[in-house]
Amino acid sequence: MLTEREVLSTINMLRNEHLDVRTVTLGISLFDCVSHDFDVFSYKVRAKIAKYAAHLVEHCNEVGARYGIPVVNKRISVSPMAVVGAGFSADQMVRACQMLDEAAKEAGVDFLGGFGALVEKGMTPGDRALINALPEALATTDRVCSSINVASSKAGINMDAVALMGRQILKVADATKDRDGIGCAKLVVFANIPQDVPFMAGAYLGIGEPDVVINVGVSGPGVVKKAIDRAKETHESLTLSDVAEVIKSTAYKVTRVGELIGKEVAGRMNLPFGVADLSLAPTPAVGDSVGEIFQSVGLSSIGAPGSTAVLAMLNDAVKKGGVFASSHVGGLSGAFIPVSEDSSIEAAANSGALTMEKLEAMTSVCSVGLDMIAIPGDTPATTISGLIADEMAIGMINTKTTAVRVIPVPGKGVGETAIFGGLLGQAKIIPVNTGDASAFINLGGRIPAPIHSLKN
Amino acid sequence: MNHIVISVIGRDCPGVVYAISSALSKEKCNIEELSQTILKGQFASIFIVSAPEDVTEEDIQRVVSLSLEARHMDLTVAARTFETDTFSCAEETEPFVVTVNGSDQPEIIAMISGVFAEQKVNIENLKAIRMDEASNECVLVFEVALPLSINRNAFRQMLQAKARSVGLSISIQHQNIFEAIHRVPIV
Repeated sequence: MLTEREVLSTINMLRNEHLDVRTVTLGISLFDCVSHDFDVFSYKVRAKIAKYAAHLVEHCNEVGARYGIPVVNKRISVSPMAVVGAGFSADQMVRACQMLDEAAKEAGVDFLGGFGALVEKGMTPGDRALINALPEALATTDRVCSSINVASSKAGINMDAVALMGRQILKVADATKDRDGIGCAKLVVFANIPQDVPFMAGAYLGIGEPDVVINVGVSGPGVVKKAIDRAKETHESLTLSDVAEVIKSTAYKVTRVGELIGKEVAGRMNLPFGVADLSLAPTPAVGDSVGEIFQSVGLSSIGAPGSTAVLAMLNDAVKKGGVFASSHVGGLSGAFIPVSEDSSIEAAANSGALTMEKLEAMTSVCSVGLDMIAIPGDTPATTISGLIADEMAIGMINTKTTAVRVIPVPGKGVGETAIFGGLLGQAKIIPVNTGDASAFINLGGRIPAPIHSLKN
Repeated sequence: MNHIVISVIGRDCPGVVYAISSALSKEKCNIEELSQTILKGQFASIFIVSAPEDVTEEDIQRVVSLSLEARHMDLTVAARTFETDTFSCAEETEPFVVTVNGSDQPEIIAMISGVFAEQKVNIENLKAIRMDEASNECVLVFEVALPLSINRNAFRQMLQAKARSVGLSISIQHQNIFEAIHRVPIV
């Protein structure tokens, strides 16, 4: 027998607080599709994706209806294309990306991730071909996402790759200039990329992963915000200890939902369940925002002094609640602060309350990093590389994942709006520090891996 | 031994359960299972007791009623033979929770339970909760045993159409979701 409170609180989370499962991501290894012949490779990849993904959307919808919890996005992640297609030329990489886009459309998923490379220590011809293919590949496809790992705590930072990515990001923007550079919204540069992320644009299936696996991304910033607001109404002297407890308990609930649904989808598809990634991932909808949580905790907006502390507490409490709720937690697991995808963060950046420098500081305590930030289209490649290098350094030294997904909007400057639409939202272009990093970036080479003792 | 089922209903006060159980024990009856609840100050209970062969339902009804009257407690007692051939669904079922909410109207419960009756879905627990006296807002929570043979989508659509026709919202969810969210798993 359920109690009134159990029923009413669940119904409230669902109807008024945007409780959902953000993504069920089907990981498919492509290692057994490898061939020197592109057509053979392409045929095998299409056949394998079609075989496993044919009923993904249907199963997710059925399980969602059974529990009354929508599975918002159904996605696919595949093995890094630069590895499985190591012998291909840049032109073939473009065709591989187009083939994956068709496979994604056929399966009815909204994104497919894994058109990526792992180059933290050096680059193979396959890695270089894939990175060179990015502008055309991302401009001629709709649903494929790319992640390039250029740094890790064990290998250091590949500054040659950082320099190259600065230039490629500008080229990808230029190739999609008619759509405000949207190609860059599908491209992320990482440090310490996890092998099992279900969230885009970073999703890919790592080389230590099973052949086919279901990973789940749970979200729920709206649920956390409402829980904090309720606690403020009911507690007379609410302290941050209470707030952290509220966030932790809420993260537990949200993760339990994700795990239940992920395991059932995996069971129906007769596939192993991989991980639940418990990340607070916002959408542009009001009430589904990470930025609003900062206001609930008493800041005028995200970006105000105190924001890094709030984010540190939020991120940590989310992890604590989540790890108890699920036996397999993985992926990114924390709070995301993607500017264009969160109406409250976007408004703070727009008003000047949240600057690039504060965003960078905040990324030292949260998952991911400089995410979905529109910058002027005339930003030099070496400046973008400088931003990437700084973010990679934060990840490398702190043994955490960090990433950069910036969009230099072609032909637009500070204060103008870039519109990406849908989940990607829209953003006013914010200024980037105009200092010159070119001589530093042009040095190239590698920043050595950091010492793992004497931590201070 | 006879098995007898007793129900007691009426105004709640401290000592009700003692008045009933002491009368039963004087008759050498053993309480095997019981359930009680209180709704807006009204006490309601079901006792299943095993009684010696020579004790009848009428005896039990009389002694329990006398025990309550002696303490000036205003409750009604009914007793009857416990039938073992009770309803049980022949096929396997799954626990679902149907939540209906909106402004209170006389026919809501009849309308929703009518769908369940027609489909042979047993209601295992039902609560009507008044959210706010001023707005007349109410929530009904039906815990039902849904036979596996019932088409989930058709059942969902039928309930949604009924609810929508009188301006109510309805959710139909597997019970596991409520337990997953609010309870630490039992190991």
